[in-house]
Amino acid sequence: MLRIGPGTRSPTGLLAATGQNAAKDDVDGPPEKEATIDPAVNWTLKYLEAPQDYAGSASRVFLGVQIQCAQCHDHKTEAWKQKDFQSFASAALHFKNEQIDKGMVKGLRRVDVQDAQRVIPRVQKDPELAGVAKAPPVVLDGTKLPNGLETRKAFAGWMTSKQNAWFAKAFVNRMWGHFLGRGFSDPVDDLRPSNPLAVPAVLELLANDFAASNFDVRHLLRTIALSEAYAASASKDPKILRDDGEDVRLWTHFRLTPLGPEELLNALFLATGFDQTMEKAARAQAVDRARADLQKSFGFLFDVDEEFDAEDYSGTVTQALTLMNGGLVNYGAARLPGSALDEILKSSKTDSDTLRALFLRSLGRPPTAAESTRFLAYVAGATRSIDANAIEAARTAEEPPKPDGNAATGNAKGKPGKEKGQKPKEKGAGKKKNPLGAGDPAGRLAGRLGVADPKRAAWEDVFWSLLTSSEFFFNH
Amino acid sequence: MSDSQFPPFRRNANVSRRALLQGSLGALAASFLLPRAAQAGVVAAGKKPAKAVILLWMNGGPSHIDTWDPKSGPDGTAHKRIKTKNKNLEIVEPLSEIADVADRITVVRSLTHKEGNHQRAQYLMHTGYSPNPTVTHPSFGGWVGTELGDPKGGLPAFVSIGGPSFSAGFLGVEHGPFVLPRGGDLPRNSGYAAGVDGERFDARKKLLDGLDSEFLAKTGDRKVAGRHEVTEKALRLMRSPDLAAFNIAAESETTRAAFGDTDFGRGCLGAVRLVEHGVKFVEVVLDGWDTHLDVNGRTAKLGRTLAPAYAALIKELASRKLLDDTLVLWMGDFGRTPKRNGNDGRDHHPKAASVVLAGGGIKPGLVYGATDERGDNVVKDPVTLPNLLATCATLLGIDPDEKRITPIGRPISVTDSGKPIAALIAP
Repeated sequence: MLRIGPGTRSPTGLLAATGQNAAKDDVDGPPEKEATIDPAVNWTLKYLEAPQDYAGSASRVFLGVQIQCAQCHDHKTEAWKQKDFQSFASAALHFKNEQIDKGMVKGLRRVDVQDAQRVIPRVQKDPELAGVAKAPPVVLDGTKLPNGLETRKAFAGWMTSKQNAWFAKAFVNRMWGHFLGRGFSDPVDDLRPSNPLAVPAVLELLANDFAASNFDVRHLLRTIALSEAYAASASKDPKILRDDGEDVRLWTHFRLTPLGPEELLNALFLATGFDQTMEKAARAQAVDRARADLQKSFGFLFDVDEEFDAEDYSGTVTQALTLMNGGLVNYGAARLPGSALDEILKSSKTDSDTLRALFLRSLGRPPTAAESTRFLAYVAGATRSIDANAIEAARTAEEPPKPDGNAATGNAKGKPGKEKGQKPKEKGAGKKKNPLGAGDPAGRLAGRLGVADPKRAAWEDVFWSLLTSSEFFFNH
Repeated sequence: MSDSQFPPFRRNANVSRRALLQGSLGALAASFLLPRAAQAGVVAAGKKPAKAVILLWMNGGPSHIDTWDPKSGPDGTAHKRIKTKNKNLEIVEPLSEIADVADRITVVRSLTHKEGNHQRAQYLMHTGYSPNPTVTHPSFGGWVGTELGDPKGGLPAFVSIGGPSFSAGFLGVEHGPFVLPRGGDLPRNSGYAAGVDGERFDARKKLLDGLDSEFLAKTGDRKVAGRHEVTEKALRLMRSPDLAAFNIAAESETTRAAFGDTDFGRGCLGAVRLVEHGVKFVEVVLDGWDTHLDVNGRTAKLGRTLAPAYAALIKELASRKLLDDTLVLWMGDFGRTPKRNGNDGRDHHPKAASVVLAGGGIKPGLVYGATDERGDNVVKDPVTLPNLLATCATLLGIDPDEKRITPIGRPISVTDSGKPIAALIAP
């Protein structure tokens, strides 16, 4: 949400923020005079290197207007010309910034941002930005702003006011896109007249309502959440599909969106009870570290770029490898002390009970009749018991020289024994490393897998398939 | 389960729906029809384009003055200057191993740009564009991987070793880099998990395919088909005979020793093996060049990591007959200031930097461009990043002017309409 806190952290406050980006408590800086601390100035500071991008970003993010297109030259089809861009950019840049400490302190550069009579010196000095420096401050609907100390406040005020026709629309469009997988415009930040809108009347209605509510975000979210579009199931009605299976109508069904990194990680923890399993296997410190490592690697691997056209999102090979072969899903799906599967098997009387519990726990629904038949037959027909140590020993024997790439194999506390033909490990390249980091509990978990009888192994397979499924991966 | 339960997945990341609607496909289609090598008109007729790129990325911005463009004077380099096999090229002593391969490489001493901030400079150097709020530009690696396609053996087209590199931007997440934290090792999770072997994996995978095909039937959403395709790709990688290309343990002790006992050296040897197995773009990162402090000590240390690895890389590619097909590119964020600061370091200096090229059809043995006597300004043959990338694209048989449509419907080219530098291309 844009209003991330009380007071100044509304969009208006974000654009007009003044003060320091960090307090002296955050760093060991010199004693300071009475200072206003407002981390919101970081939005402004982000553009110090390229101040001409500030207005472009602000209008794209908050108004869905791609004014940036007019930065270099005029376009016949666009409403704004280069001189409009320069006036708009200038309106946003009436501030000065002063570094507080010498250099960085604790990796942080503390800066004080204040309103200024003229645009920032960086723009005044750069010959390429002369046009911006000289332009009188005017906003996109032609309203002239006062030229001086109060320019930036006036700019921020206009950006988020009801007089500005784009703000409410852009915000509603973004929220609609966020909840429903596609905005009224596609991409969500392009509301230019040249980009046709889907059902513009609905956007208009919602935007007017949002403005009338005095930009009450809760009210808007409630409206969207109670809409029929949001309540639609992810199943498509075959009647509305084209021959090639593509649905050309929007919001007749819920559009799948991939879970974000934290959502996915938390969903996996919740489904598997993996953190409890780790806690039973290792010291709290090691568990915390493993959890932090997972958060970091999921944050990197499963980052969902919101700018990217989500309609085509299908993930990466690294993600697929992490889910299929990584420790989290594999140990999470295993029957280990404290694990979800262990609990479920202990409390279920019949195979049907177990299957139902696993489905509910991972997908939030019971199995269909066809799924029941298939999965129960798989469990009942299982004949192979799995000896994790034997598998490990066989793998070590057949794959010299030993790579360290494999998630879990490196640390299985099996008894593979001394293998013939295995080269001694070289320095650096052959170091054992677990995907969950050094000293991590997963290595201990590998040692606890032991021998699974056919039925236990089969249930682990079922759970694994539920956790790696697309139904689990996508919000639907 | 057979794959036929999943309908073919049509990606449209390269051509936006709007482009299709507006019927602006004509120009694109026409450029697809031209044979790649002939498009640019700079590569001589009948010459085969290069097949791969190895980018040695010097993270932080290497001092040109203390590496490839040594200067004397009070603020010049403290390193000894040495002669090389190229009589026009002197380099610093910590790079001594490179002297021996200097006749096979070409040093550009005149790269110049305007981005003095790491993030922005790294973006520019990887994509050819300064950051712009309206679009995420594809990195050159993403672009090359997309143009040249996935290797047949199941390896990814674009691999980055020791750093995250840059995404393929609007070309789509599937064209982004396959990231390895360290070189020389198999990728994480590329083998079965503990307690899982091939037989058990197949059984599990069959259950998974059953769930996914039903979910696809129910939702009809092509993201599900796309995800299935990515899973199959991951499986092909796991079971590819070429997977071993990641692991340098198969190389002889002598070969490995030549690259040096460093992550960067192992990454470079890994890059040779990957290119040998059809990977189209490998980035290997050497970090630590942001030498605001002690520029002499730091560049000496980094040089001793870089030089053996670089020389061995050129020699190894040549001995495997891969050098003519592989463009090796050495560069970093920017150059560094001619004046040493109070901490005996050098600060950011985008006005002048060095770039080194080898293989892939470049004209070897040149020193192209020059800076003034302090290393402050480029005084001869300035090279911009768009022109550098256009040169590289041309060598790879990619039309430097080929346009792709961004999500907001703007056509942009891989090189920001750069022009290839004919003097750098072998006749």
